[in-house]
Amino acid sequence: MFLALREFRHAKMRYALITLVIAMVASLVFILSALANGLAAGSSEAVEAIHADRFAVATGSEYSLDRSRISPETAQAIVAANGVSDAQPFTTVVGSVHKLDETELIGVSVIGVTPDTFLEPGVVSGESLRDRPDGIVIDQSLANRGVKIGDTLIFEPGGIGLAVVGITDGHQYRLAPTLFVSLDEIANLQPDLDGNVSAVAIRGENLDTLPDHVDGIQMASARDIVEHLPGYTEQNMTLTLIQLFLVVIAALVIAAFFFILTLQKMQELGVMKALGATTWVLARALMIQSLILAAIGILIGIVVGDSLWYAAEGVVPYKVQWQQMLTYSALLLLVAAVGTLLSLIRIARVDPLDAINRAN
Amino acid sequence: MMTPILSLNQVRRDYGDGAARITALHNATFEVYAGELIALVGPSGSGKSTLLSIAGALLQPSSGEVRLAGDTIGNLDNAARTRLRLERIGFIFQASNLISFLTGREQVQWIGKLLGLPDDEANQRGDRLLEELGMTRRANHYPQEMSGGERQRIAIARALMNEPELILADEPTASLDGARGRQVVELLATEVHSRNTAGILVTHDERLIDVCDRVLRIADGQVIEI
Ligand SMILES: Nc1ncnc2c1ncn2[C@@H]1O[C@H](COP(=O)(O)OP(=O)(O)OP(=O)(O)O)[C@@H](O)[C@H]1O
Ligand SMILES: [Mg+2]
Repeated sequence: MFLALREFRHAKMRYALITLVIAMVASLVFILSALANGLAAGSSEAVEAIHADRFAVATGSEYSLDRSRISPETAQAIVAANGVSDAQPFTTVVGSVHKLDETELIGVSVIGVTPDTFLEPGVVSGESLRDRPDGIVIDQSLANRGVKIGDTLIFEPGGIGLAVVGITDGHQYRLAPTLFVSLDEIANLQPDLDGNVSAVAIRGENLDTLPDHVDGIQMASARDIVEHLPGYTEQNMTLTLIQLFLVVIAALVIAAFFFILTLQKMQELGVMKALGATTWVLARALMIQSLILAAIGILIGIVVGDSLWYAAEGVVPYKVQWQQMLTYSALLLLVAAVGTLLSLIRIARVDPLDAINRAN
Repeated sequence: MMTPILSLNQVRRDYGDGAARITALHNATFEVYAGELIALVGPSGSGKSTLLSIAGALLQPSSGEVRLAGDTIGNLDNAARTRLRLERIGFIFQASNLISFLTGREQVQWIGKLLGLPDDEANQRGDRLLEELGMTRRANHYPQEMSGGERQRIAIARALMNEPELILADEPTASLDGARGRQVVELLATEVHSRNTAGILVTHDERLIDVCDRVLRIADGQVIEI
């Protein structure tokens, strides 16, 4: 610590700047992961909130709820099948609504469920579909657009109006503001469904053999459905790739910074070795420096990433996950250590004789 | 008979191989005793730094025997030589061989750290040395804020910090004017005498010889005592 800290003190500006760079890279990494989480949650949290063991979707639908259509007879057959303890059909459609007194259309995900089943979303305020099967329970994502309990929403096309009776949270689907109605109402809103539903959420055992007994269905897990949402996997891969690049950039920045400093110090390092400092003492000082700078940079990054969470509330999908933040912090620290390796090799090679042969 | 602090017996050092081989030091044989400061003089390229490096365990001899207070040091491995330099030898190099980011006081303290001395003991010993060398007032300055003479006085304090048996100084006055150079060498001689250590001073400046107790001349790698 003796050498490491005194060198900081002697060149504050230089080390402050590199810390700033590390902080910016770390902030970006954290912001991108929070955005990725937010986007992922906004796409899929409605599906993941359903505590079903399996979903039955139509064969050939490629796990896409939009493409899947299941007839009432098939749904009945699933309910009656062996191993099924509970099975609830549901429907998701893309729709548009506007408030009674406004003309501006809001694109929404509409989800139809049977009230008073395990599919019904719990409400954080107002009434639930169980009490008001003729009403709408909106997700917070729609409430964020200015819709309140008591408003009447008009579905277009069709012009059917329903009252908002409750608000649920954490049930967004396909990144659109999301609302829930009863299956009966969705049949009214979307006559072209012909009484079909999108899928059936199932609880039970040995469900993977169900397609052997019921024609026209395949089994999907929540993961399968989420990963087959349009663009979901690609979006996540893109963001992950950018994050990995940022981590690599952090490594290169740290490596280059300490390497240049080390090259500038060769003579001094030679003197220190001549005076009896081991490579270990000098290498340790450099390693400590790198880890301290990285740790400070990461802490700043965490503060920045975290405070954006409050700023982004309701504006951008943004979700901080502590576990993930810790993982990336550890990765950045590791990278800071690895980044000094090149310099450490240099330090190991310094010949104390250089202290005497300076003139040559 | 007293054991010499440093004794070289038929020490030879070659650089390079084959046709490119040059012998920087031929069969050097001499001894340095406790309490004496030796002047090592000779033209450029005559082998002074080579000799000093071998005496200071920075360089291994090609052949011959080097002893420090009776211990053979010519064939030690790297780690052992580093340790030996830390514990038993004091080095003073040409100007500007202080560590740029440590204050004068810290240069000295750092050696105490390396030695593993307890902090307060290191600080006391360091402050005493700085006082002896008249550097107490300037001790909290960085090397770049000091004059050449002040820097070399810090370097002397640093070299004494491990209470060395042997002090080696390679042209410590090279960047100083005559009067200041002489002051520095006189300080060095005083320390060598009062501490009863052995010292070798490499210098180009013949006027400094009278400060030393004995003179070794070296020409083309041959050491002659006068
Ligand atoms: N690492 C090396 N490789 C090859 N030759 C070397 C090396 N170091 C020194 N020499 C040669 O050995 C000889 C003695 O060099 P040394 O540095 O000991 O001389 P010096 O007396 O200290 O000279 P100066 O007064 O210029 O410092 C010179 O001819 C020099 O070129
Ligand atoms: Mg020399």
